[in-house]
Amino acid sequence: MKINTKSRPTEHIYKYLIMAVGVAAIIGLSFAALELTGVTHLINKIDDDSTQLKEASKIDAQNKKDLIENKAGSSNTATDPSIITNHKSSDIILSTQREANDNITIIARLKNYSDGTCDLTIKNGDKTYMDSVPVIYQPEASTCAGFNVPIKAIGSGSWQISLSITSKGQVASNSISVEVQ
Amino acid sequence: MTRNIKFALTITVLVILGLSFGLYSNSYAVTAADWKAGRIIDDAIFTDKDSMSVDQIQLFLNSKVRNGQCDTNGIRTSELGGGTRAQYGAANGNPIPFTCLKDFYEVPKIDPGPGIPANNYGGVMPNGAKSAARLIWDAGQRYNISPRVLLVKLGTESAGPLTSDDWPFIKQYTYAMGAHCPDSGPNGSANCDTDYAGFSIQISESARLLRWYLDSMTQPWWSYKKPYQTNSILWNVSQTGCGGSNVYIENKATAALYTYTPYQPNPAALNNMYGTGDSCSAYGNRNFWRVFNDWFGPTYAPSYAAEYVTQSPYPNLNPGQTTVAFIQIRNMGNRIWYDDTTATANGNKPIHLATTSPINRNSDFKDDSWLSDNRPSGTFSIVYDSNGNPYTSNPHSVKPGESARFEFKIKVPNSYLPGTYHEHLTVVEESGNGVIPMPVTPWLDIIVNKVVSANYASQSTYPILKPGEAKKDSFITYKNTGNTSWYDNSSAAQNNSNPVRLATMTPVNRISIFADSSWETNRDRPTGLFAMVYRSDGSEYLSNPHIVKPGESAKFQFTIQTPDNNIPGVYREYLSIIEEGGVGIINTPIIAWMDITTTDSPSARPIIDSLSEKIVRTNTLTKTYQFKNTGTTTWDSSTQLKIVSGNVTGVESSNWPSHSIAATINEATVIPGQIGTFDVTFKATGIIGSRIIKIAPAINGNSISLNDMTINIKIDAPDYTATYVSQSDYPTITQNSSLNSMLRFKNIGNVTWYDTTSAVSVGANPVVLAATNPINRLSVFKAAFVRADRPSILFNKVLKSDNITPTNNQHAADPGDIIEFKFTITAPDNLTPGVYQEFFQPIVEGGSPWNMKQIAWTNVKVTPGYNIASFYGQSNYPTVNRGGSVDSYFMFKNSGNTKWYDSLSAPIGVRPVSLATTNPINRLSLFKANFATSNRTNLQFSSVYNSDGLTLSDDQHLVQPGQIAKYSFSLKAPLGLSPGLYRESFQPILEGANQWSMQQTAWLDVTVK
Repeated sequence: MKINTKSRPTEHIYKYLIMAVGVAAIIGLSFAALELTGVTHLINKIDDDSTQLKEASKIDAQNKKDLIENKAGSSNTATDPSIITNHKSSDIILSTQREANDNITIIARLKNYSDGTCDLTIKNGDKTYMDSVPVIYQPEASTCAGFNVPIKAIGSGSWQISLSITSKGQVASNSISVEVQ
Repeated sequence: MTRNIKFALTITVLVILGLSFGLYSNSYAVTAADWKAGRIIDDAIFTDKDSMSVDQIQLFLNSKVRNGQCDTNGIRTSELGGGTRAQYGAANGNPIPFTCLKDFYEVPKIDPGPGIPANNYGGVMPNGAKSAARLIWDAGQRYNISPRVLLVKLGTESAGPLTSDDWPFIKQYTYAMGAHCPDSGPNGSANCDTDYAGFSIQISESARLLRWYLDSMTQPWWSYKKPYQTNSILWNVSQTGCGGSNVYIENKATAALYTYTPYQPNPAALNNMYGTGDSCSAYGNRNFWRVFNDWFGPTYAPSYAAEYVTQSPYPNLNPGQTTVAFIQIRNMGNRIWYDDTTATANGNKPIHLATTSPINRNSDFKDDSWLSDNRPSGTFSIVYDSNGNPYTSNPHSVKPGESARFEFKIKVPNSYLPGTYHEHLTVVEESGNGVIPMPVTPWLDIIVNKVVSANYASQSTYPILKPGEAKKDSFITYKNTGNTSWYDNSSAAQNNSNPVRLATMTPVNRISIFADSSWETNRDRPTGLFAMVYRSDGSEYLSNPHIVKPGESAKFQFTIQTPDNNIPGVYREYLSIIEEGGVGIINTPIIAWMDITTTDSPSARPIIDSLSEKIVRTNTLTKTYQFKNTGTTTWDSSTQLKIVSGNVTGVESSNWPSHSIAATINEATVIPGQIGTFDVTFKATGIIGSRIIKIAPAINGNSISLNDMTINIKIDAPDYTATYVSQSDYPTITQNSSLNSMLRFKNIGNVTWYDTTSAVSVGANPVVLAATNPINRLSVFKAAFVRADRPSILFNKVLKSDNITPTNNQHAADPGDIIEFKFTITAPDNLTPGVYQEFFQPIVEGGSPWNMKQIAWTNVKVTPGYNIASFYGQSNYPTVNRGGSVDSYFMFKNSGNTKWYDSLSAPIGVRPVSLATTNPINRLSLFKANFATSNRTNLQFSSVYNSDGLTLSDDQHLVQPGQIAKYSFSLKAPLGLSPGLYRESFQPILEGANQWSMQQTAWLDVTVK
């Protein structure tokens, strides 16, 4: 009987598939290594060529130009510290809220503050409560890092709450009165 | 190109592209539909400080520079107008060179203050400067913020942005992160605090602020955006009046971003993801979200993911010891973890610490506190917030980005082998999602120390011993309670280990008085061998392995030997085990001891334990045996030597005190330490062969010996065998002369030879030299023999086997000795000249058998003898009166070849020379009255001269050929003799010989008046 030694077509396909995947894996890994190590930048070029990225680049360029040329709207144009050191009482906004645990939280919103120290003084008759915490910066309005005063500390009554903010060598204060029951 | 090849190439290209994009980054392009205002990024992603290393950050910055490389010299055309970049920079106060972020270094500015810190922008590298990559990584580490977050913030907050700008101005670095730039300018524009100028402090402060927000936002005084609740968030600064919308913020990270940049993108901004929206659009958080996705992939963590944080130090433990260890794992997923305390209440499955590699592997180091053999802990012992600070009150739940410490006990089993064991651990959601993925599975290296320890197990009974007595089967058994096998002398070397030995203690290596020769050196090591090894269940090994594994026991068997003459008492001997050359004394709770009692009983020890004696049948043998008094009492003369065992019939002698007592001590007293002696006489009357008897000193009939002396007595048949040794040269003698000869024989039998001098005294038959062949042949040379057939019956010499050294008794030759027989060979005057072969042999005279089986011979050469005298001189002719005497003499020269002897010197069998009257021979002389005989003037020489006739020779009774003999004599004239002249003739003769004439006659003419 004659023996047919010819391979079936599907065996060829599998063979070439395996070869292709192997070769591709080697080339792909090499390509990725070159990109990751910064030797080539083919991927970046693809990104740079995209329409969206072109638009983003324009925005980036404009932002850079605004910064360099000190145009309004830039987030990095302020170089004069006096801008944020001429504080006044109105920059300090005080409010309170009563907590379920019979504590009074004093909330401060500090306009145009970058940093500093918050010194709290609460008087209720002859009783005084004092606390000091740092300023937490936030771009809209900074705050004091927490005043949570137990009512029992100075008792209920008319609380004279005074907050002094010391920043850049200057002190600004504001006060409010709160009836605490 | 074939179709198949084309197909393959196509596939290749596709796969290359796929792999390239897939491997390059897990970046993800987002669209407006993907945006969730309340979940910009998950906490675990946000706080993953270890998401990038410094090198990875540097590589990232390298890859982000626009156009591939920094345009340091500004040679490209400025996108901002003004010619080239160099020209634009010069016109705007920033001349070249430009320094890109990837190359930027700055001396870190940590605390706020005026001025921009020193950096390498466009110039020299200042001391202490750190790379931008390092500054970013440091800030992330310090505040537990992902470096990716900081990079994205930098990429979205800075102008340029710095991350990709290939010609940045120094101004872009100054407030790169917009930190401490309150929106207090016109229309909400920023005013930056110059105390925070500088790239390093901008990076550091942005991380600090984010951390501050994360940690403060759940406080009641927090007035900014809050997690886990709905917040109102504006589209843009309030001054724009654009308004905003309510957003439920799902996590802290998102709330922090909204605190940092308090605006959300409006739909216009989202619809143009990479561009601008409308007048109300703000882009900070959109850009953060978009860029993060672009650069690092999704901002959402998987539901369950974990990350190793820290762990307790690797424990060093001994077998049986327990310690508390911990592993801290961060929740990198977006689901809250609950432990066994809180899971059920919250409707979740608990998170457990589990063994792994493989998962759920049963650990050898489990403790009773474990949930099971593969669950060290199911409780969070401490929960840390995302900043790594522990909660004061353990919530038993771990939010994303937080971490849990699992504390658990590690117990090393008893006898566990020393080594370092890797205990891999992971976290699992029990009965839920199973193993929580972790980039690196943590492990503890549990170092189990080598512990060499033992515990006393058993010992032999306390011994009671006489002075000098030994007990060979004492033992102590120790159990190996450590985790290291023990090896003894026979197994240590091949196992490259140190041997474990029994040693004296209290103090260690104390020299023991109870050591014997079986102990090792210095009398401080009773034994270095395991006599027996017992398994942990107490059973014995059939074949001693000489290795004691942990849990097994070793029997140390040794000898206790009390010192001789030891003072009675009880002695405590402390013994324990050591690892020689290793840990030394092996730790054991109890040091064993032996209480050794020594008594005052008399005792003795043979100086020689065993010996052999040989005795020839019928002979007697007397030997002295020695015993040392090893006791503490003195032996007196009543001490006897007892036959302890053995049959003495046939060897005992009549002088024994009794059948069972061989002797009485020789000494009157033997004090302790001295040696007593016993003379024992054996008489061999028994059958030929060996017998063993044991003897010991005895007092009052009782043996006192520590060990008996063993004597192997062998009765031999008598053997008189001789062997030839040497002899004198074959003799050559002339007729009528003699010569001494010698023969030596060695006693190779088993009995002593005695000659006739000594034989009688010992009742033995003498050994003599006999003429033989045939035996008792009558020798022709016998003249000087004892008998004609016995040349000699005496030993001339008795020498030791070296044939040189004389023995003490020259008449007795023990086996091995050499005996010399000396005898004289005499050649008769009439013996025919020639060579005669004379045979001799030693024999036992009168013995049976007599033949000693050795014959020797000598060849005797006999030469002719010529006895010739010649006249040499004489006195004058004498004149004598009747009745008177007159002296005369003759001198004859020995002109022959034989020696002349006179009657005094002639050997037996040799004829002397005399002066005889002659004419006729033996004539009776008239003047004979003073002669030796009537016809012999002289029987002896009067003088002997040398050949000169003047000087006397050495021997006055021997005339060598050439010498001269002088005969002096007196002539007496009888009274009746008639006066006249008388001629008296004389001649020397060989007395008694057939050829007596010596051929010379002389005379004297005597005148008688």
